[in-house]
Amino acid sequence: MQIDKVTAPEYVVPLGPFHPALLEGEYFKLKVEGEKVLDVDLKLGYNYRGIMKLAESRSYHQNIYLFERVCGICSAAHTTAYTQTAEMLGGIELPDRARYIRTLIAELERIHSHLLWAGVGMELIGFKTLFMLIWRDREHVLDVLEAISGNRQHYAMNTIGGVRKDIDKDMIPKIEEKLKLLHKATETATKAVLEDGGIRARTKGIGTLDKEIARKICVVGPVARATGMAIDVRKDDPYAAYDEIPFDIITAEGGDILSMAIVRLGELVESVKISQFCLDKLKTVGGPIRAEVKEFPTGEAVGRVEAPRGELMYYLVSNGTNIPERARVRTPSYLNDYALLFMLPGESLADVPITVASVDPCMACTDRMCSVTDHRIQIHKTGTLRDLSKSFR
Amino acid sequence: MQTVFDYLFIIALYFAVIGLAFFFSWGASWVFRKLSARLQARRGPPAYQPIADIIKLFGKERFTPALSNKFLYILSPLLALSAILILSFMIPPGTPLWPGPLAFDLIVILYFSVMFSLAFVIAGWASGSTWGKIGASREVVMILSVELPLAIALLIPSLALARGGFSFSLSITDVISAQQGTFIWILPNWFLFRYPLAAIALFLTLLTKSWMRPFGDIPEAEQEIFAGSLTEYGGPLLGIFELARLFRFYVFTALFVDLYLGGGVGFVFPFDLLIFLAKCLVIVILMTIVHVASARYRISHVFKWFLTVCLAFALFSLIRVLVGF
Repeated sequence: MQIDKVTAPEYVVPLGPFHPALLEGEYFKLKVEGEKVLDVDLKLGYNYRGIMKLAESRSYHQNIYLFERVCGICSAAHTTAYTQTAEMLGGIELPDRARYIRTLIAELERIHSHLLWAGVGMELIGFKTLFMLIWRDREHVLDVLEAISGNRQHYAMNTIGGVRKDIDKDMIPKIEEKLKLLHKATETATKAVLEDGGIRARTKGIGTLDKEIARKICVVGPVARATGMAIDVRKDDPYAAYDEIPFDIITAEGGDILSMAIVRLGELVESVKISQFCLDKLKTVGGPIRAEVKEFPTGEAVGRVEAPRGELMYYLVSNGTNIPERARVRTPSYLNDYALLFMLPGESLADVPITVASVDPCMACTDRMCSVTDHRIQIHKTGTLRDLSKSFR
Repeated sequence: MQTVFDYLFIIALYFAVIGLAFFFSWGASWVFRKLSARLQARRGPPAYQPIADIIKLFGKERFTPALSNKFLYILSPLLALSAILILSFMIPPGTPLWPGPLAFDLIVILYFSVMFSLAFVIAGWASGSTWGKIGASREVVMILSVELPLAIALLIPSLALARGGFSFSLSITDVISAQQGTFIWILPNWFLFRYPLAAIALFLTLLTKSWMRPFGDIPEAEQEIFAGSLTEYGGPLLGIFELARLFRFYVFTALFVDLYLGGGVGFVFPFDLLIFLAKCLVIVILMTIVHVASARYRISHVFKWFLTVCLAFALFSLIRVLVGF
């Protein structure tokens, strides 16, 4: 007697554009057999806001506020990259105190972003308790940012040539106290992720990204570091005060979700250390927090920073006026999202949400440009940036 | 000689037990939500919230999705509610005086507990949604993995009756009265102490059947498949489902307390009832703590866990009962 092999029927499961697991609009067309994902197609472009075109009609100073709003989570990274690029254009040297404050804000933002990621990740594998507790501890860093800048999210600290607000001497001990609490919270979260059997079962060996593929598709940030590549703009191309701050690049081998979690949790500890270093420096280093800004001569500049999600690149072209001729933003998620096409096939449907979240996708950053033709959305490939910007003028 | 009043009395008693089950489930559901909220550093809902949610659903419009099988779509919530209502008066509230409806309770309870789960499978398939189908297929895997250890663990106390000098019986009331007295030293003569591994197996299966993590909420994992089987449901039909699900707090805890924690044995009415409810509440709190302290596993893990560890626990106890050591 011969028994035919029973195969589960194939379905196309639409994950998105709106789905409880996704925080922003993106569309994964999953071809599944039973619970197993066979093939993935990814569509972006649901959050297009035309920010780069908008930047071409605003002055350099107005653009700070615009680029702050590219992303809600890494707003300081965007303004750091933008002001840094503008400073390169204008040939402006940053005062010492401003460099430390800028670094401090960038690191505090990294802490808040990574804690947010850890919380969301826990929620996606159904560990609601750890999600709540991690987000409760995240409030500490938001308190610090609010005390420094007056805002929990869009800090509006960076400006061209320096920072807008100074940090008081008597505020520093309070920040240090909060940093200690954060350090403790980080340790608790790390311990939970490394020791809890449920979390291990859901993350170890899931969504593995091969190192060769990772190198080929140019992933950046924690995703690249989780596959064993020690790349970090803070070390490779230091900006702000990173050239004099000692810190380690956290890497992990494996490229699975657990490695990505380990990298991000390790970076939390490093970020707390860097923040502490900056605070120590701020106690002694005085001076102005802002350099004088003159005009922007004709030219172009590329600036890059290590945003919480990876390398963030800004490209500005000046034509001698106070309005940039061309502004181009390349966000880390733009590169990391495509790693999902290699990570998802072969996984179970239950692991899709946490795998998607593991690259920490930020759609609001990524959806830079799209054109609508015949009701079908196409993402343009960028050719020569100057030519492209001219064709849209 | 039974008169018509005796029958009326019994019917009234059934309604009283369903009322008790409802109010206990309401309270236990609130304890579950409030306690898990406090453990998660949240405030938690007020006491009327579990029932307010359901009342709200009944005030909404009823609709059937275009792709659904209309008959099964409407039938399955009714099936779930009737199964759980029958379960809630089949299980005696702790007292041995309860006039059990049948002499073979446990078989009927097993049957209706499968039927309750099957209602969700039917709902998922009938709703015509991809997410519903995935939820239904997960529910089927749950039934296949959970029911076998559940059946063995349910029958162990009744098989053990013959070992304790009683005659073999499938009635829960007999199981309750067999747990009178002490076992060793001051430990009461509960089946929990006599067959601890079977008790663990039953606790895990009942935890899973009550949609508690680590395994229970896989068929309705909201981050993965929206609400699973119930994705397309809304309005009064979802209200009926939610009402049926509310009773799980009574039915599955009462089953455990009656079989393994001695019900309310050793006390006179109404204290046995109160002791029984207190024990049920302790089980609810235990379940809540397990639920809060764990991540959700994958469906493949359920199959592995229940058909190896849990089944091994149950089978070991079964061998102990049959061989007698």
